[in-house]
Amino acid sequence: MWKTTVIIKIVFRVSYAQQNTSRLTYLPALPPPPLPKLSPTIGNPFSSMPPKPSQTLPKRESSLFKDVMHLYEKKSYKKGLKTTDQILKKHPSHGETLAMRGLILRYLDRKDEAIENIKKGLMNNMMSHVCWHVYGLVHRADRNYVEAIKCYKQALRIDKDNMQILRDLSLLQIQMRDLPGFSSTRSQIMELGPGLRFNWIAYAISCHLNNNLSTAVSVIDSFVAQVDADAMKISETERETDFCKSELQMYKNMILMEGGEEGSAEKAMEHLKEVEKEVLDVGAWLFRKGELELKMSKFSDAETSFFALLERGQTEDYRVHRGYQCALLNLPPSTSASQLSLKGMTTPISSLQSTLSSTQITAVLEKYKTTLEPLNARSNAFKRIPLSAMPPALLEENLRPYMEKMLKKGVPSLGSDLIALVAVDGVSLKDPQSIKSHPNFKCISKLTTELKPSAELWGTFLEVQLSEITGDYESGLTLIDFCISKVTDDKEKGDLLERKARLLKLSGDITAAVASVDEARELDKADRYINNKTTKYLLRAGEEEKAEATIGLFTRHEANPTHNLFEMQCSWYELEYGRAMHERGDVGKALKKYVSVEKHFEDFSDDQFDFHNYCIRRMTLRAYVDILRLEDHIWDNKFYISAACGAIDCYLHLADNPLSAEDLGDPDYSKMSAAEKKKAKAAARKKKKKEEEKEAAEKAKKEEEEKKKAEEKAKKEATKEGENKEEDEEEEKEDEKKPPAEDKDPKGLELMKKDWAEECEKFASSLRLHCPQNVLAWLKSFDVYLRMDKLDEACDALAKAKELDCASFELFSRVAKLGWKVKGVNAVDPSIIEKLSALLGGASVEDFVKASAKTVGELGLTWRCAVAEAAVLTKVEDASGASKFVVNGGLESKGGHLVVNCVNATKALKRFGGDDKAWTDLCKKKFTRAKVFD
Amino acid sequence: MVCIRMATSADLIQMQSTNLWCLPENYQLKYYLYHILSWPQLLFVAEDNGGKIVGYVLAKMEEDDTQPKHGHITSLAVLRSHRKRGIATLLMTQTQQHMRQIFKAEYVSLHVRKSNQAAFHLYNETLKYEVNDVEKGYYADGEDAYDMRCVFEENLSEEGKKDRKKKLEEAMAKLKVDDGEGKTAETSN
Repeated sequence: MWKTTVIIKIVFRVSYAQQNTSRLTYLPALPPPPLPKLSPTIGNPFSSMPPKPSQTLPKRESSLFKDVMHLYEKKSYKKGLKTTDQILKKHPSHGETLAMRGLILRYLDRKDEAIENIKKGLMNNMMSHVCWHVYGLVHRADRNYVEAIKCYKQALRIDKDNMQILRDLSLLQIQMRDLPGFSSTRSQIMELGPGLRFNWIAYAISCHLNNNLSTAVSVIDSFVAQVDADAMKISETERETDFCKSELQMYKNMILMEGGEEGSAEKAMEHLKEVEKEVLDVGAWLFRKGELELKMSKFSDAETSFFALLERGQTEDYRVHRGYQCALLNLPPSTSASQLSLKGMTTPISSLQSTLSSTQITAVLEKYKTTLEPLNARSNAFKRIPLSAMPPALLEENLRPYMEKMLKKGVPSLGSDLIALVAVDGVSLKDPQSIKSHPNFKCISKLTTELKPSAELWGTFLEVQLSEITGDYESGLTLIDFCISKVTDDKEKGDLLERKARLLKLSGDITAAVASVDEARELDKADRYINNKTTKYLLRAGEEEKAEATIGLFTRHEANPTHNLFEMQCSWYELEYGRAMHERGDVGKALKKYVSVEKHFEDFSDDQFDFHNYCIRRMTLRAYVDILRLEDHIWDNKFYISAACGAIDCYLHLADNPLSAEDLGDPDYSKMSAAEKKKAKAAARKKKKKEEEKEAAEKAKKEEEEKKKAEEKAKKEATKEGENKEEDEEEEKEDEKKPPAEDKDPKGLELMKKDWAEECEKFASSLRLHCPQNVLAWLKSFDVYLRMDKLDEACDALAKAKELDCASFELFSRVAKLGWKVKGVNAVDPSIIEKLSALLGGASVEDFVKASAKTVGELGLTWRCAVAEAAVLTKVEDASGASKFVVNGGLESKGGHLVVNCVNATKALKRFGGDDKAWTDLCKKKFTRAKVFD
Repeated sequence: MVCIRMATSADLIQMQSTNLWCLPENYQLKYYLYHILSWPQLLFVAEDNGGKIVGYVLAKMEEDDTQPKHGHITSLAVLRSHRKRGIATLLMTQTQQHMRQIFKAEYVSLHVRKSNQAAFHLYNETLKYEVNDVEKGYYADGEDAYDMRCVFEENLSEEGKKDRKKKLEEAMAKLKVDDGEGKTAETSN
């Protein structure tokens, strides 16, 4: 682990220093960088202020100043600082020295002094581009990119052709996705430094990103021409020449392919053939060829290309299978393009099953059997893909040998593999009834029974999985106990116990589930997967301390598990922990975890910074452009969405339940008598003192540990061999890990004290910005707007949600809430009435709810609860009438097989004062193991 | 079943998550970015029906000019729920193929915990790695690592080729069918 951090630091030193060195690498023949030009440029706001006379240093100090620069670049900050002191002793108001002093202080983590010095430096020499540049660098170090850009631009007004500053500016422009700005800066740099390889490539990229594809291509062409003429090198070292050539050509081809105009595929194809010999990445080359052939509807050529990929060994790559099938099926370019962009295991014969003729499907199946299978008998994909498109009669015959082989081998994930055959044509795995009636399921079920005698253990295990998916947990539990009694291998026993835990969880007994998964963990303590499962179940059971101790078994070498998991950006754990705290009503602790996850995404977004230069040097341009495009959507990720939604819910809870003085930690003295007050204050003092003592003891202990660690490190160092010693020392200096700062706010009070409306809006607006296609962004925004009484925005949010998913109960209950709220407000803006009416389908809110109430018999459990609550809210029904909506539907219909839905139903009934007893009686009958209904 | 394909930038967060589910050696996302932006063709993932990443290999080229070109497996993991499907083997053979063809590597190296028998078996028996050295206290918790190497066929000496063939025959005789099942196997940089 520690090695990794070191490596990252070596590779990514982002500094002035590094860029200067790189300049030296590229520009050995050019004169040194221009000295600061002091003549003001036109339009400079400071042009009327001449630099103070003291700004020119005498020879001795001037050479000291050069030393400062050098020391800074070498990261010898302490020495650098001393040298600035020497200069400032004689010239206390030398602006550039003050600025450099500030920069060095920033890297010594003395932020306040840093800013103070830099500002003082600027005050003394506003005309210095060095001062402005340094100010920009410090803003950049603080990730305050907008301010940094301003400073760089100011520096450039003073010294408009300063390459170093232009480079730094371009870096921030690409980071902030100011694409036109990036392009114009890169073009300026290109003009100033046409002798540099780097500048050509960066300029080409800036054109590509601004969709100026033809310029991008011609820049690359001119560059390549210069390389061919030996005027420029394509790579930094000889060793990478071939790779860089190959990558650059494939990048050019990517640009050509992206051109949407008539004939662009032909052009790209022509280029692709031209560079065939240069391209090392044969797989990518062939795939691109097949892709282009599909674009041009050259199906037999495309078939050959994709077949060649399978022949090369990419037999399990479903992207290749998708291309191959598109070719076989002669799919038009637009269909092919959308098929090629699919994820997971879907291929055209499964995803387009309903639109393809049986002759077409048969033809593809035939190809797999006669052409592909003989190619590689061990390929799973060759056998598995045809199964996904076979009619039931054919399926049974072909599935039998497939299942036989897997059962014999004892593959634990066979169940989920087979169930995927049922989920093909829109069947939801959330609905046991429709699974049971699916012909493919019947076929799997039948074969399982037939094959079981020859593979008792894994055949039974497969039955367990089938019981689970159909909601029959009790049969599953009986069967799994049988399996456990038969198994001899510990690893296999662990698998079985884990499955048992899952069934117990599903049947509502989380305590027993924890016991079972923990038993599995005990069998294999070196396995982190089972350790994590145990942790997760413990959190579900509300045992967060045990959970932390369990997961800590794998982070113990890093001291504090929470800190280590945060450092390693372990979002799943933080979200589970947050959810557990949230459930219990400990909003502060929940918020802390949600905010941690938010922080990871801030870091993810910032991570790209160091690669803008790096990728150009390494010429990994396709991957670089992919990363830029990914970073544009990095927040559209399920981890972030969960964290943001969780945080919004917490703050909305705080809006309705503001913190009392007691929550904040100070007792409420106003309500006490004098004596009580005295006593309370004394108690508080005592408590504080105790805490302080504890803290001091802990601190001492920690120091002791640190000392020990340092000694050990020294010992290690001493035994280390001489190689790279010097370098190592340099790194160690850098890498000296500070112990994790003590968490001063373990309860999350600071987060809870924040303004709920501001925080809610912050998270909601980020969801709307980054994940506008996710209905949750709009539902959560609605919740926030409604609570803030912003009815107009609330209407708009629901309209958006309706566009994305018009049939959810989540939308229904919100429309009802909004309708009811508006009804109670006098003098509503007519535009709101209009928007609301569109949401209600022209009906009154009461009729809107009644319409759903009429169909309540056909609805699933979650929907019935929503209708019942809305009916009570809008006074369409009284509590006992609404209770019937929930209770009469029973547990057999959609969604009733899940304990969590049943628990939510109980909560809903309690909220509106319904008959929760009748309901929990029903639940107890079905979920005999569950304690949650007691 | 699973799809074995080259990783894309969109897979990195899930790869990190899979790593945190399988191994004690974890890395920040930036380290995954570093790999994909340096050797984009050396990262592979195993994706299941729903598009979930159930296994990955994170590999790189060593940039030591004094040595012949060679690759290194930084990290390899398969979720326990998906074991016995040969996923680890498939991931390894794909990345090794690219090391040879694109980066002209002569051999590939990796580290494995001394106690991890399943992983050792995979590397040694199925993938033909040999122990090159033992690194004392390589892991953060103090455990030793085997430094293992696999020289690619075309770079083996005649003797080496014969030797490997003989071993292969022996292994085949011992185990009639060796499907090279990949249990959670791990290496770390």
